[in-house]
Amino acid sequence: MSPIDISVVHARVRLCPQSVPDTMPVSDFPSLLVRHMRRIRASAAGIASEIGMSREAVNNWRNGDSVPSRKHRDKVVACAAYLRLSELETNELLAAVGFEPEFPAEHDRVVPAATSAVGALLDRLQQLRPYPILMLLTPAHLGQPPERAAILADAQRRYGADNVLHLQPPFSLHADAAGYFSALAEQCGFRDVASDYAFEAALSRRLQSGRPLFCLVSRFEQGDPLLRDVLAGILRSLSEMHSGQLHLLICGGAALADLKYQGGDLSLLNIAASASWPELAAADIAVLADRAGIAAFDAERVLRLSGGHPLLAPAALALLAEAPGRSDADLIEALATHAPLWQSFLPLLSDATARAAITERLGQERLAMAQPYLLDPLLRRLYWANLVVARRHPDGNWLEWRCAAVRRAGVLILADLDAGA
Amino acid sequence: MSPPWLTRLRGEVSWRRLLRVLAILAGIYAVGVLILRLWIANLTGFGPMQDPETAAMMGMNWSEMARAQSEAVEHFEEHGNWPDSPRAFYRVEDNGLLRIQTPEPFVLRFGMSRGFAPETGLRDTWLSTRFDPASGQWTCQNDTPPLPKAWLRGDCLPPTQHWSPLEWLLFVLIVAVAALILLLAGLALLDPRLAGLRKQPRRLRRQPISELPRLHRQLGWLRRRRASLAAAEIAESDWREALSYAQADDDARAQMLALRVAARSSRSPGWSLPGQVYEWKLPPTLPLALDRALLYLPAAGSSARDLVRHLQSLQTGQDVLIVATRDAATDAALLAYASDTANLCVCLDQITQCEWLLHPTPADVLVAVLARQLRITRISPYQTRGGITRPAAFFGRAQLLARVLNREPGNYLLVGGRQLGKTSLMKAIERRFAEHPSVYCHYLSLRDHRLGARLAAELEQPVETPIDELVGLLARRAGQRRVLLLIDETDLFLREEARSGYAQLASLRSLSEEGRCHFMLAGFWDLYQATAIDYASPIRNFGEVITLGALEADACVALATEPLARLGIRFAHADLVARLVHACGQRANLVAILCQHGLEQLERGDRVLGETHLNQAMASDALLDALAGWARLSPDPADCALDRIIVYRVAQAHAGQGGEATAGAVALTLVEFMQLLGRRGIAASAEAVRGSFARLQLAYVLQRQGEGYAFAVPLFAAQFHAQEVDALLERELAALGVAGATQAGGV
Repeated sequence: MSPIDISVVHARVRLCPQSVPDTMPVSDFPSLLVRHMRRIRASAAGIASEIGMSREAVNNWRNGDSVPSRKHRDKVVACAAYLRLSELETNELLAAVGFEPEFPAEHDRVVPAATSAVGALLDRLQQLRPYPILMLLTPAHLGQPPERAAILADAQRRYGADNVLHLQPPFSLHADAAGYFSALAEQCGFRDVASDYAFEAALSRRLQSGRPLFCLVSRFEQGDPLLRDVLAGILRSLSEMHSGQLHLLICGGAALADLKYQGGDLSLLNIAASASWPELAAADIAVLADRAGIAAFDAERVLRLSGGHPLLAPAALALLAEAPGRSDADLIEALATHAPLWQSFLPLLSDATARAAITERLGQERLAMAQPYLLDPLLRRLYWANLVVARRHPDGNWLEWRCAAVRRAGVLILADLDAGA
Repeated sequence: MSPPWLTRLRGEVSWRRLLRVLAILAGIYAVGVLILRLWIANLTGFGPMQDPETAAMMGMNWSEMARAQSEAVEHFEEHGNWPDSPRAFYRVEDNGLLRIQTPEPFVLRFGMSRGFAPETGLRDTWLSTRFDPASGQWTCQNDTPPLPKAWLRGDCLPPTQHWSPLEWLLFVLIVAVAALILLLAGLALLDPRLAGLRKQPRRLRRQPISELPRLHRQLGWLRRRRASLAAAEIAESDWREALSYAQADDDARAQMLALRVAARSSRSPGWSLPGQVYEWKLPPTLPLALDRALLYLPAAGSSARDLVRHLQSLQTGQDVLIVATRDAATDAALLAYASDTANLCVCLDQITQCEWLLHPTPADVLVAVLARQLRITRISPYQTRGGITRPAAFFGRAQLLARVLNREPGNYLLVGGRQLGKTSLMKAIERRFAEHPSVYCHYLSLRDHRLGARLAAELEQPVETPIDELVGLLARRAGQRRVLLLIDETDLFLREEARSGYAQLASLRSLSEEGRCHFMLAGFWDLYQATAIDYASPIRNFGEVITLGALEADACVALATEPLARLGIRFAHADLVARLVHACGQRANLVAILCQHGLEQLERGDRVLGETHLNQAMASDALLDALAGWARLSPDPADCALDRIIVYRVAQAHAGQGGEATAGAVALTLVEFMQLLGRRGIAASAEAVRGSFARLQLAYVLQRQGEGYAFAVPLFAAQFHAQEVDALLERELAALGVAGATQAGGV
C-alpha cells in the first residue's frame, strides 16, 4: 500500500459538522495564550521546548502574526497541558483556533446517571481491602476521569472535604524531581517540599490523622516516566504503611492500562483493582435530551444508532430531533461523517499493515474475545479510541464495532485514503 | 500476709454467699428455738403466757387431779361401784387450790379454788374428767365456767384443737418442704427453658441476656449451675461478666463486647442517633476483611420504629454498624432491618449478645452474625491482591518458613514471579519474629533503586545517611537482638547495582559478615539473573536462594475451604475443590480470586458453591485480569518479544490439542522452538531462548513437562482464542524477523 495523504482526510474532516464551534472567534487565540502564559509565568522558549516547535513560531502565535495550522493541533494540546489548563480551558484554546475540542464539553458529554456510577465506583474503592486502590480505565471521549466534579463532590461527602486530594502530575517530560514533587505538594497543600522523600513524608504525616484520605490521581500516565514511577512507588509505599487509610482512585486510559499490564515494575498498579465506566443507558439519553431541550425522543433508537458512543449519542439525538422520520440508513450515513469518528480512526491508519487489518476487521461482526487487556495492539488501539466495545453474549464477552456508523466511517475513510493515494 | 487457705477461701466465697449462709443459719436457729420452747412447754403443760407462780400452782393441781383419778379408779376396782363423794376415796389436802366433785358415776369434776388470783382467770373454773371402765382411759373436757384454754392440757382441749403447736409446726414444715420439692421438681422438669438446657446444655449460651440473672437463680436452686456451665463450656468468669452486663452502663457494655473479640473501642461522638456510638478497631487476626466497625447502643426507651427510622437515614459510608439491642422489644424490628443485606447494619439481639459474652470463641459468633446479615463480599476473608496482611488469610509455606525461622539468622535471596507470594511470605516472617526475644525483624519495600534513601526515610533519618549508620541505628533499636532486614522489590536496586559495580551490595555483605545485620532480598528477574546467570555478581554467594513456586496442594485446599467454612459456606463436593486447585496451578492468588468470585455469585441464603459458580469464576474478568501482565517480564524489549513468541507457541499447541485445561497437555521443547525460529529465519541465540524459558518458568507461566514446557497454570490458556493466537504468533515472528534482519543489515 502507498503512503497516506493525510491532507485529503483532513480536508474531509473540516467538512464534517460540529468541527468548529461558532461561539469563539478565531482572533481570541493570541489573547487566550498570553493570558494562560502569564498565569504560570511561562516563556515562549519554555513552551517551544516543551512542544517541539521553534520559539519564533510560538511568538508568532502569541503576537497574532499566525495561528496554528491543523497539523499542529497536537502541539496546541501539548501547549495546553504545559500551561496546566483545565479541560474547559483546553477546549476554549482549541476552539479559538478553530479546532475540535479535546475533551467533550460538559453539556455535550453524556455520562451515565453520574451519581449512581460515581457512587458505585467509590463504594467499590472503599470496599477494597487491604489496599483500596482502584484504576478507572476509560476509553476516549469519556474524560479522565469522567464526572470529575461529581467524583470529588461524592468523595468530599464520604471522606470530609479536608480528606480529599486531587493529584495531577505535571505533564512536562522534562520536569526535574524538585519541581515535579513541589507541584504535587502544592496540589495537596503541603509547603516546603522539594524532593520525593519530602513529599512522601508530608503525605505520610497527613495519613497519620487516622482518617482515610481519598486521593484522585489523573494524568498519572503522562509526564516524566521516571518521576511517575517514583510517585507510584510513594503511593504504594504509603498504602502499605498506612493500611486501608490511603484510598487511591487512579484515572486514565490506554497508557495507564499499558503501564499496568505491560509495565510490570509498578507494583502500585499490580495491586490495584480495575474498573470501567458503565455504558450509556436509556436514562442517560433522557438526561441528554433534557439538557438539549428535546421533549420527544426514542432512547433505544439513539442507543442503537450511536452504539452508546459518548459523542455519537448526542449527535444521533439531535439528528432524530431534527427529522424523526429519517431512516436508519440515512442517519448512519450522517453519523459516519461525524468529526470525532474520523479523528479517532485516522491515527490508526497510518501504516499499511494496520490499514489492511482494519479493512479486514470492518467486515467482521465480532472482532475477538474481550479480555481485561487485549493482546492484539491494533485491537487495543481501536478499543481505547472507543470505536469497538466489549459486549456480553451467551458465549462470553466479545469485542464488536460500537455501531454501524462507526463501521461506515471506517469504510469511508479507507475509501478516501485509497482515493488520495 | 493472709494464710493460703484464707486467700483461697476469699477467692471462692463471695460476701453475698456468706450473707446468705448466715441468713439460713439464723432462720434454722430461730425455728429450732421455737420448736424447743414449744416442746418444753408441751411437756410441762405450761403455755407460753403463764406466769411462773400460777404455773407452779397449776402444776400442783394437775398432780392432785391425777392422784384423785388414780384413787377413784382404785376405789371402783376395790368396791365395784363409783364413789358418791370424793371423801370416799380421796383426802383432799387443804391447800385452797383444788375442789373435787363426783356428780355422776365415772365422772370427777375439778374446780380451781379461790387460791388463784382473779387475774389468772382460773378462780372458780371447772374441769370434768370421765373414766371409761372398758378401756381404762380418762378423757378430759372443760366445764362451766371453763378454764382458760391457755391453761388446759392438750387432752382437755376440744376435739378440734387436738394438734399441739409442735404438731402444727411440723405439719407446716413438712408441707413447706414438700411444696419446695415439688416446686423445684416442677421447675426442673416442666420449665421449658431448664428442660431444654438439660437436653442441650449449649443452649445456655443462647438465652436472652436479660434472662441470665433469673437462670442464674434457678440453676442455683437446683444446684445445677456449675454443672450446667461446664456442660455448656462456659467459663465461670464469663458467666459472671455476662450477669453484670445487663446492669452495666453503655461504656462498660461496649468495652465488654469489644474485649471479647479483641477489638479496641472508643467513643465516637457526633452521631444523630439516640444512644451512644463507639468506633471499634478490629484485630488483624479476625478471619474477615473487616478492620473497623461501629457499635451502636440505643438509648433506653427508644422505640423500634424510631430506631429503624434513624438507621435508614444514617450514613456510615462503608463502615459496618453493629447495633446491640437494649431489650427484647426492639429485637424483631432491628433484626428484620439488619437482615437486608443491602445495608451495612448488623443487629446483635438479646440472644446474640448473650452468646457473644459466653461463647468460648466469641470471634466465631461475630463472623457468623456478620455472615448472616451482611453481603458476604463485604467481609470476604479472601485477599486477591498484594501481600497477605492478615494472618488468617495466609496458608501454607510451612517448610519455607521453618527454613528461615528455625535457624540462626542468615542471608536469603527470595526469588519468584509476581503475585506468587514473596511479599506475603516476608510479611509472615515479620509477623512470626514480632516480639521475638533474640531477633529484630524489619520489613522494607523498595520503591526504586535507592535502598539507603528508602531505609533512611523509614528510620526518619536524612536521606543521605550512609547505610552502615542506618543499620547501626536499627541495631540500637533492636537492643541485644540480632537484626534481620527483609527487603522487598529489589529488582530495580539490583539493576542499578549491576550498573554501578555493586557498591551498596558490598556494604550489605560486609554488614552481614560482621554479624551486625542479616538480609533477605526478594525479587524476580534481576535477582534471578544476579544469582543464577551472572557469575561475576557478588550476590551469588550472598545468601541462600529460596525459589518461590506453587503453593502446597493441601494449603491450596485449606485456602479454598477454611475461610468459606468460617462463613458457613462450602463447596458442593470435594472434587470441585480439587478441580479448582488444579486449574489454578496451585497459585494462591488465583485460588483466592476464584473463591472470591464464587462468593460474589452466591444468591442470598445460598451456602453451597457448585459447579456453575466455579465455571463462572474461571471465566471471570477478575481471573483474566490476574492472568494478564506476563508480557513484560524483562526490561529488555527483545527478551519480552521472545517470551511472547514462546507463550503464543505453547498456546497454539494447546489449542491444537482441543484446549483442554489440563496442565502439561502439550509441551514445547527448546529444540522445537529453536527449529521454529530457524524455519522463519530468525537468528535468536540459544542463550536468549534459554533465558526466556527460564524467565517464564520463574514467573510460573511455564513449567517443566517431561522434556519440554507447558503452561504452569491450566487456566492460563483461557486467555488465548484459537484463531487469535495464530495471528499474534505470526505478527510477533514477523516483527522479530524484521528486527533481526534490520540488525543484520545494520551490521
